[in-house]
Amino acid sequence: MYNKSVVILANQVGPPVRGVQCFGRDQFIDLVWEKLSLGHVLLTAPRRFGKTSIMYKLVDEPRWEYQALIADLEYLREPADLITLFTELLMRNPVTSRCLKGVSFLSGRLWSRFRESVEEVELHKLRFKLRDELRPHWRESGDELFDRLAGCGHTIVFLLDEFPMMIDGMTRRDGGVEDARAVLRWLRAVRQRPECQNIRFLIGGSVGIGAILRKLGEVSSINDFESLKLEPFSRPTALRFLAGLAEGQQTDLSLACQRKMLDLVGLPIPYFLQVLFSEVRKVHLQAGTAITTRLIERVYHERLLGVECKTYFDHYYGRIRDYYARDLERAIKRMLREVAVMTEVSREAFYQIYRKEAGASATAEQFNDVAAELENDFYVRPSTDGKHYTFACKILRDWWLRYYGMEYGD
Amino acid sequence: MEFFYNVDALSPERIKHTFVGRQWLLDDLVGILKKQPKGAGVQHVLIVAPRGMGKTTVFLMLGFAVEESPLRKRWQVVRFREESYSITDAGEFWMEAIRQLSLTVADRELEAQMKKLAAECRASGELESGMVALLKDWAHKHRTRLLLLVENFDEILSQIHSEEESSRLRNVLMNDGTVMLIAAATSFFEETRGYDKPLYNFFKVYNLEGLAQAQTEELLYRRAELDGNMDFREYLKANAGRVRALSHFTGGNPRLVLMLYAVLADANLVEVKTGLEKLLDEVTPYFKAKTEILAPQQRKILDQIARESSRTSVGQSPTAIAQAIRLTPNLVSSQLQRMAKTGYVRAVNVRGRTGYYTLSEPLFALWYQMRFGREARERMQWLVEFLRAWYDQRELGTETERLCDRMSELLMAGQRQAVREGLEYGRLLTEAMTDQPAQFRAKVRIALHHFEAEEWQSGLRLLDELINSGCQGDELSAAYAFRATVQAAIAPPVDALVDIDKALQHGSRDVGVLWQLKADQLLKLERFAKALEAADRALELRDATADRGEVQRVRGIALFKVGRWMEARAALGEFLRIKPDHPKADMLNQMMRVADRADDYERHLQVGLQRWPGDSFVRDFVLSHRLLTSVELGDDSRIAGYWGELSNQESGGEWLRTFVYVISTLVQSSQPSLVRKMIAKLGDHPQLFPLRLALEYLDTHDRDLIEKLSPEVRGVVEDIVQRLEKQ
Repeated sequence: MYNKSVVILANQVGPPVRGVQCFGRDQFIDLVWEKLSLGHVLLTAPRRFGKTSIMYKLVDEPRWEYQALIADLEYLREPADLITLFTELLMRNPVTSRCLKGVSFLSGRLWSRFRESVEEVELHKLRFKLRDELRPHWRESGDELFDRLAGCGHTIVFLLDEFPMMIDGMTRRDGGVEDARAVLRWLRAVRQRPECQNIRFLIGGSVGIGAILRKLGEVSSINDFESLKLEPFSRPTALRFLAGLAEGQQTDLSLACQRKMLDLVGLPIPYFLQVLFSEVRKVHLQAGTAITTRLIERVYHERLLGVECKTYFDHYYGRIRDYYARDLERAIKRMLREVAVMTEVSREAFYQIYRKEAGASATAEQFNDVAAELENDFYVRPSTDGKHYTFACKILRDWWLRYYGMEYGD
Repeated sequence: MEFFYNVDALSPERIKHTFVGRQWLLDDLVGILKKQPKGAGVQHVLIVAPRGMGKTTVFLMLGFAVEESPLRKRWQVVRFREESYSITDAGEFWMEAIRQLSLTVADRELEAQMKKLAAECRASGELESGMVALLKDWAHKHRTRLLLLVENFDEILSQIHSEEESSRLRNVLMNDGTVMLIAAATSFFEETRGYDKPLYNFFKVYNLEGLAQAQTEELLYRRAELDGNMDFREYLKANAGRVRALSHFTGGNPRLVLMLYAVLADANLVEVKTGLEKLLDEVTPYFKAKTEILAPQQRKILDQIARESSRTSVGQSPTAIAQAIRLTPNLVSSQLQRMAKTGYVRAVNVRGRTGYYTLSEPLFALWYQMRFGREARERMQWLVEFLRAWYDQRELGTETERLCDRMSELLMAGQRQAVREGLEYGRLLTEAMTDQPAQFRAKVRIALHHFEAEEWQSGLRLLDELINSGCQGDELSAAYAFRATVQAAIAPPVDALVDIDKALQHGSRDVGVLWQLKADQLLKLERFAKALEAADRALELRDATADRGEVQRVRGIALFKVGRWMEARAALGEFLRIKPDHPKADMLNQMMRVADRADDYERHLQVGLQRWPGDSFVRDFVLSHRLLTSVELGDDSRIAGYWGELSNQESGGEWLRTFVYVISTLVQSSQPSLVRKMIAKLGDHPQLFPLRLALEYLDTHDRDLIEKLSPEVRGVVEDIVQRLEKQ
């Protein structure tokens, strides 16, 4: 029977979850607010870990007098787009819209139309008219915007989702590299302005912001951000999460089955738990069979690690090719194969593999960077004494063994 | 009227009635719809399944579910056309949504607004923003939200082919609660699985799998109900094997199940083949398109799997495929993984590190074999596989019997082409049999019909297949015996003897008839002594399979030929007693008379030799007579022997006089051919020259032949002519 004491969760995949559906992150939310009260925050985690849901939680349940404004920046391609978006966000908020009255690029008529317009088509027209007007002097207009915000009496938090994607997208356009640099520098300058102490930025991004900034030579442009990493669930939280999913889907999932799922997945990354739960439930519904530990094990091996679900994990392999140079890519793949096959590899052995594959010029310092990045991206984790590495997540190790374990010795 | 490709042309009742095996998905989708949050965070869905798997039907059913429930107040269903070729950016995607919405709700003003706004937009981003704004205004005005049902979403995104545009789509879908998108695609495509793609793992994905056997049965039953066939459930119960076959070959693909049902439901035996060919022809555009979009290396891999699976029916490892088509295993492996994602192949094993791959849809494999099979046999293998699954083993036997009966009728009616085609189909039926004794019997029967139709080579090929099929013991020897019997009738005796000996070596039960056939073949080869031995063996065995009369005939002739006159006479007499109406009875009677006479002469000669032992005339007379009898019997060795004895005597030309005397007295005037035969046998011997010339003169009466001879030779010739003329 369903347990009425647990939170009812929808098995939502993709879009952000809201309200109680944003599960098991209360302490992390507290931490984010704490850090936002002190400065700017860089929220990192691989895709599908729930960064956007965290941002919506901040918007839905703001603290103190903070005004949280959220925007997805992924599709923006020029600086004027960003200033237009900021303006629209601020105009849509009753508190902040007042501050913008009288800014030079918004005539009184335009300001009134923005505020009074209830029709989206009308707003759309205003948006593009404004962007065209801002394009030649976006920097000055942006400065003016933040001048106004500085004295508004509220702390304004800009929650900018997919910020790295916007920067990356900009660099792909003709002349876009300079635009991207200009935006990064301008935003840093805004943050540095003493009068803008009431402005906070939280930027989120799943695609390595570090690599994108390194490519632009602008690593220092976000060094005033405090980085917060969204971690996997603890085991008890994961169990409650699974119970909630089962309740939400009106599915009988015994505690033994929940534990089995956790054992199979290993590190309780919510997305992997959702995928396993979803696959088990599909088989349960289609075949009309009860969910048992045996069924879960079968689904895990036959479906989750099978070709059908391969795409859920493909990017863990593909990312290495995308983000690292050829020598480094080979070294990392070899290191990961070794740790997958051997279960556990000493740090020293890990280093030796790295040196052998990356070439004689490989240094211990570079190795430390690589090892840290692999840890950061949830590929591997060190033992408590730091002397050994294992795969961070059992499911990932199983997947790696299945598809890349045989390449050993390439 | 069937609408296999346009389900929405069917009535709602018909669609609902045949909605099978997907109710759980419909319930889930309705559940999601009910629980959607009000603003951002709407759950979007992607249904992934090959064509024909029921995506459109699910969309239609979802439409009915919304329209027939309170959900209709909160959600307006907007279904895109199946083909949306005009969409190349996010703006056009939303334009299409508005176009379909205006059609659905008959809001002409909305379409007019859309056109006006689109004309004002200069860039794609602007168009997208404008169209989304218009949709939101409409939804707000009507206090509803939009449920977009979009088929072939993978193709739409591939037409859009821009991350920026995909980002715009994502932004609206993720951060605005106006729209819920339920998309469908034939595979899990790059835009949703690439980590750096905006729509990476953005959707809740449902893979639609093939119907299970019970669901296939239910679908067929409900389909039959629509035809008013209320007894169909009983029929299905009695034909569980056929449901299994449909389920297997269609991979549970509902469209293919219904298509196969349509061609097979009432089909008779030969129509099954025709119907299947028709179906495979109908699905050709679909499968052809499916094959042609593959990259060259992938097509090569597909070809290898299809051809190999037609032979072995098992999956192949990337290494084996790589070896066969000369690519590297890594390359093949990565291509296979891509092809698995796009639904062309599937791994047959799910555990273990080495995958074994096969084609994912058995019907696709059939189609591929039929179309690209390199040999006729390979091209027809698909049908064998189908028949094996379609009929149970007992039915295969019954159907073969029925087919053979029908072939007999057709043969009598002189419809040889129909017989030929029917027998070819019969061969396929027998190929499908797995019960070896039954298969053997059926093949023999089919072979027999081939021979009745005088399709000798086809029948022999079938027998060869039987012999080479690995059958053992009685079956193998029976096959050899059958082949030997046929060869005895149609092949040169030397070849027939090879088969007869093989059959005898394999211990055939029909040993009597085999010895009989052997005797006959040896007789044809004029190996009389051996023929006699074989015939005697056939009689000794007292085997009912041998035709005793026929054995006596062979035996009689052989005895006659070796000069055992009385025995020959007895054997031939026995034969004519058993078969007085034999077509060659007259000839055999004649032989009996010759044997009588020869026996008579021989006895008289023996008496003469005993009475005048040193008399040269008697000796020459006896030798000449024996020589002539040997010529008559065709016994070359004796001819040479007697001729040597006669011609090598020191008695000058006396022997020749006696020889001519014998010819003139013993040879009937009606038998000059025998004399000529003898002269031909003896060759161009100078001592026979006068005799040859005399015969020539008797034929032509050309006096010049004699006039130009020297006087001494002329005298001899004239003497011979005189003697012969007296006769």
